[in-house]
Amino acid sequence: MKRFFIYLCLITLIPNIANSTTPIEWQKLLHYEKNDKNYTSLVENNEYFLTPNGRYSPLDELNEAINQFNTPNNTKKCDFPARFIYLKQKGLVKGNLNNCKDYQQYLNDLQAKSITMLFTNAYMSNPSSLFGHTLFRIDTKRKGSQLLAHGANFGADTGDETGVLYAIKGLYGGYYGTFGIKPYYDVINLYNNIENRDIWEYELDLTKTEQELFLALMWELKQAKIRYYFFTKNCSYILLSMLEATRPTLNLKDKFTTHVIPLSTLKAVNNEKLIKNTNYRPSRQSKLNHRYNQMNTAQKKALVDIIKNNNINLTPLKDSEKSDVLETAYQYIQYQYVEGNLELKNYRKKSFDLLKQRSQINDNNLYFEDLKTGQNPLFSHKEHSISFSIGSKNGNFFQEIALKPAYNDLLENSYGLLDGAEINVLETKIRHLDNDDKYTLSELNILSIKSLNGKNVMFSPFSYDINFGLKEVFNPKTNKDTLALKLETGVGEAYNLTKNALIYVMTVPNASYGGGLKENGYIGFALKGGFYYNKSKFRLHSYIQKNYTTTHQTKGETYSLEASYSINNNLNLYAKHQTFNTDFHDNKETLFGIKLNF
Amino acid sequence: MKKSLLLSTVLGAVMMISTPSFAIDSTGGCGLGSMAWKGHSGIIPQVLAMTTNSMFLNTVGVTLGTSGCDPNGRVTGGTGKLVLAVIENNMEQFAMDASRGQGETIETIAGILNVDSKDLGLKAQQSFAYLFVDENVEAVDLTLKIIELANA
Repeated sequence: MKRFFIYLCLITLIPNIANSTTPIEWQKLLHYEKNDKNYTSLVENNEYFLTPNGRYSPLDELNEAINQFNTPNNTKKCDFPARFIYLKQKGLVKGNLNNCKDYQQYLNDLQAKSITMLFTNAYMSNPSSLFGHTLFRIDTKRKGSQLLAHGANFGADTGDETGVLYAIKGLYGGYYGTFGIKPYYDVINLYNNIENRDIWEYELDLTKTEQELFLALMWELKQAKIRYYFFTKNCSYILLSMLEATRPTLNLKDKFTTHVIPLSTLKAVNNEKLIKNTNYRPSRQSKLNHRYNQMNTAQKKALVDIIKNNNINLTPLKDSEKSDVLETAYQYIQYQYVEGNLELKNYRKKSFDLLKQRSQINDNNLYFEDLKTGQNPLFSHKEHSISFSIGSKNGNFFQEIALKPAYNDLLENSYGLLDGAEINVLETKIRHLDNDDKYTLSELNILSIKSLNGKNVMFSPFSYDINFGLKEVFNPKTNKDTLALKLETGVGEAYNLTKNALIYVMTVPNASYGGGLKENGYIGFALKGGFYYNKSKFRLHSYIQKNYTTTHQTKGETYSLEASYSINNNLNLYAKHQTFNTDFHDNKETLFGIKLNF
Repeated sequence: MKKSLLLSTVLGAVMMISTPSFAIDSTGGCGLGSMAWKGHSGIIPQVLAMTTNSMFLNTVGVTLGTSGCDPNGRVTGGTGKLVLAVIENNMEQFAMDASRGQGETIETIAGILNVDSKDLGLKAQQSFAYLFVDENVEAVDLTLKIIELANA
């Protein structure tokens, strides 16, 4: 009789959902996703469910949860407090969680005040971090600062695997992801200080009830195993699933079917008006560069003397100038040590000497923390793009349409993104040529990744330029252009001329394969030198590339000049002129166009 | 779905080629390289903390289990343990904050000990030579000294 009554209650809970036997809130709570008429939870392991078929049956789980939570002395509610809280709200279970010792300890340790979503900048030295990263922070109400808050990260447990196996497993769900919690100071150390990535903190606008549920959900997930897919069901996707479970009226995941880019998920969250406060926590590298740019000539000289010659000479400086130099030099020493460029003994001594001097100066300015604003990634351009252009190739006019699902190239507005970084995926260009009135695929840029990162007195990053795709190549036999698969892997160095301009040099081993090529392919080696300028609305990129290849067909020089102007973050005008001269054939192309990010 | 499969295949192929030219660092990030923090073992965060904060390095706290790092990855325990956790895991920042008499670690410790952070900062700066006798300072010792200063 009692059970019958419960069923009646359930039916009244589900007014509008056709073909559904459990409330949508319940489905979201356990991360069920519906495919046709079947439900599957993102979570795979049995420990997360109360019934053997739980992963596929929200209804079995619901019944069993009600049954067990209503059984005296049953402790399952302590493992699944979110389910308990929800069922209690619906009046289906009685009691409370007060006797759940571990869970209460967890809440007591966290002392949660609010929930913040964190975005860490892209990290161009690691292929898995090219798109940035999102995680949660459980803000603390402990007195002092947020150092005692907790980061909650969903990550794939990859063990020690690297290389090919790692890439394949990552793409096809060969790893499980789990949630891990750790103190926020460890998060800061990892991202700000080891990987030198800025952290953006976006405080979420959740109600107290939602926050309570969120914490309970996090507790339930500590034993959950979720299959990790690099492009789709990745860290950011699971975070969206968490937010949907917290506030079931949200539909965030639906928008991400083919690929999930962390920054785009953040924008989706913002579109739901879930973000109420933004805070910027720059990386150590950002702070060091900022301090250096703020210093006067005498300070810069003193700083370089310390970090390059190990000579602390501050006599020409005022007290306030001294403390700035000492703090900056100290932080640079920490950076050097993390990079492995300094021995422990030397590092300790240098650090100690600098701080001893700093402690003798009375100066209340927090120089090293004065970088307070940055370009908010929320306002960066959208990830897809479409462009229309007109141009001429060797005197023949053409119209071109180009489409790209993601993400950013050197000529797009870099506001809120890494300057000098490019990640283009599946950029497809279709051309209509006036002289033969045909539509052709003129280029398929499968993947290009570039990082132009200028060296300065403190940092010596390397730069690279990798391109892989189908490119047009002139076939002397047919006197026509034909497509060939081409891979270029450039590695080199860049030097900043000003804050907004850099030059670079690269060596570019390359290879190509395709029917239009002599002997079906070639390998080659190129030298490339370029100039890149990027300031707010205007960008310019030019380069010269000298190519030596195993076939004369492609041996020659490329001269390229591209520029773009942003009408706004998502709309750019651009122009390009390029010539490619070989022994057989000179190619000259000019085009103008407009590009929209959407 | 087909689209994403194509995307995956293509990118997988390219990554195989390009991977050796990158330094694969599995410490963080969204996707392939992101590793669980292994919060359950508690070993990784501690090792990680040690690699960054080994100035005036203290390994004693970690090996003896007196470290403030909880196996669940949480900030936990009474005031002494919390102060130790902050100092031990933020040694380089704490040393700088002590030398200049203010900063986030000072605010945090003052919060834990429920004292005025300006006052604690001033004391730390004035007593810098007492806190950091030489470059081989140990976190437990430092914790005892800072608590003593706060109560002085």
